[in-house]
Amino acid sequence: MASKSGITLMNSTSSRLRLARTFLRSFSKIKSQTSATTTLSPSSPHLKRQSRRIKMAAYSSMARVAGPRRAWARALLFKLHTRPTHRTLMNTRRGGSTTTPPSSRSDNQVGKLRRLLPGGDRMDVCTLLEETANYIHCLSTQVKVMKAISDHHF
Amino acid sequence: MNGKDEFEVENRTSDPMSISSGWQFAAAANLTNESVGFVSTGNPSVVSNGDLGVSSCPSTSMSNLFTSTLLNHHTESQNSGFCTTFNEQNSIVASNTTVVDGEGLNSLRSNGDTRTLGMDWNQQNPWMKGIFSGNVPGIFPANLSQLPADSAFIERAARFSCFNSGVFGAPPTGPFGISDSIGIHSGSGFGRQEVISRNGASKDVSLPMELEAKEKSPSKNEKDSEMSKDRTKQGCVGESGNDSDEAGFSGGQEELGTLGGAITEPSTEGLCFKKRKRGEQNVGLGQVKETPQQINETAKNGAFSQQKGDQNPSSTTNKPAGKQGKQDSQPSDAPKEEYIHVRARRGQATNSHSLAERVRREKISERMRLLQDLVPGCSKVTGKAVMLDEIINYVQSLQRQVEFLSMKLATVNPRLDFNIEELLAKEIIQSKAGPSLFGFPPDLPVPYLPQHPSHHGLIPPCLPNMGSSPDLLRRTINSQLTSLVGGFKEPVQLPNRWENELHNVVPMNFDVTAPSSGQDVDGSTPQCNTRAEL
Repeated sequence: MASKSGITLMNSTSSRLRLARTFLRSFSKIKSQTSATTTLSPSSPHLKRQSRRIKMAAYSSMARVAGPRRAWARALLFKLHTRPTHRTLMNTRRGGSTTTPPSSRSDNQVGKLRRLLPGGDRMDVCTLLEETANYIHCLSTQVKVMKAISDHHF
Repeated sequence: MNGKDEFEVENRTSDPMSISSGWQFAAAANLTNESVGFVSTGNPSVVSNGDLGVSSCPSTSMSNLFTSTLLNHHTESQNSGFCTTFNEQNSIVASNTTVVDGEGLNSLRSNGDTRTLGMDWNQQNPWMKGIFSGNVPGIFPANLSQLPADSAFIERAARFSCFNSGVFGAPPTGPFGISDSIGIHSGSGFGRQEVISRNGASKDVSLPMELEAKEKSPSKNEKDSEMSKDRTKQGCVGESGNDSDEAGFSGGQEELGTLGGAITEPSTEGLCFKKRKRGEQNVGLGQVKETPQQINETAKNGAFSQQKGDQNPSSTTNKPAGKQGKQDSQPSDAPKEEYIHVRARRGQATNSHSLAERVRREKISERMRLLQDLVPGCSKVTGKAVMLDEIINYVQSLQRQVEFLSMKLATVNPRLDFNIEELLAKEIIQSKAGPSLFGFPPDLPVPYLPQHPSHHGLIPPCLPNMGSSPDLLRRTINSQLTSLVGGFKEPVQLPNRWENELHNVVPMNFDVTAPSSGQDVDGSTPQCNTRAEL
């Protein structure tokens, strides 16, 4: 466990930059595409769609940086992959891409955590906590990066 | 035990008669006395035990430096004394046929038992010999009367009877005094035997546990041995407390229960013997209480070599020692209760399910500690439920933040975004130099400084060397790194970077390399980008 935490600590510095880079790339791509299609006056549905795309880009870059070894990253990427088929159905309800179908155990906090963590509905508690730790780490990094970008732009 | 006492007293009284008149009395006793019938059922195994005792003499703990004949006598006396008792238990429950059928099993078992009991039963030799000298005149004639067809038995019995009359039967001291000692010691011995059989049965179940305990630290081993001692003593006290025929009956049932796994028992009890031996040594070293028994044991061993003909006096002298040991065991039960408690806990823990459960719990608490460091404000919180609440809230807030920030970024003017990556890259690095220029969290820009070369160098383990080593070492690594890293990214710029100071170079290099590396990753992972844009 000490080695694992050491690895995460060592990776934390490089993963932050990788995350920023990956997200910036996809973000710029989204922006360039939207600028190519609609140059001016982003309407309300357009803004909504773009924000959703940015969020998905953020999550996918997070998952890609976290690597395929993480269960939550795999589940997230799988969900993002299979997303376009039921996009219209899911978008009407919730925009969040991390929402999983609610598990049977929703009474306790572990069930809540399961629903929060992508792919958490088929983990045991031990794995769930470990994945949650990594997920929190990546998510906070992502938030910091996004905050930095938005602070730069405004 | 009352019946047994009576039976032994009767045998004792019949001792001179059996010596003189031989088998007739035994036949008569077989007719009249029920208890002699018990002995007769046990006889085949007694004889076979005698043989096995001879064969297994070097392996047992009778390393008393005896001569071979003495060794034979010793083990024979032990075996027969031992087996008369437990075969009586068998015969209480079982018929003659089962005993005869289970003769091989009994012999196997008794073989293992003599091994396991080698150390422990040395101190109980005297009463065994007492039993032996008391019983044997009755035993072998009965055997012959019951199994007249078996010539081997007759031969053995003849040998035994000769041996018996020559060695043990010769000095028949006061019959009633010896029978007294037999009465007392047979009680304790019976209890011991019960315990041993129970140990054998439980060792079948918990053998890996015992092995594990053996592999652990010597202190634990000592504790273990103490606990096994406890078990024996508990059994001893319990059985002597019962002191009735029912005890014998249940003992016989237990014996029969363990008789099924008797073939596997000798090996396990061999292991048990090793442990017990070690435990005996440990306890003997650690506890002063046990030392008199050991002294008695050694004294007994010495006395045995001296008094070949008259073991009966030695048995009478050793009788109080055994009694004292028994009395010692009773007050020592109270402080050893906690050991039994520990034992039970350890027994639980060595169960595979509870072991896995414990490992799981430890893992969970470890993950909780890891999460405690990650989640702000969670370090003060105690209790897993509250901590989980905090974690859930934090994750939810982070997800909401991502949502909010993506909405915020969606409103960014798209015209700026053509060179946004370069701009952002530049400004992220610059914000590191001038901290929190653009509202960065203070911990974000600082890690960029060391991590930036790591990203470019692609070999993170080399970087601490680079940072800490002098220039010569740096250049040697540099030459290696250029060959290594040059394949990945721009080889022209790497020499410049490594020659200069890291802090100065990093922003400059990043300006140049950021687009190229971005193109690199773009080219390498195009599908990821498309996926991200879905």
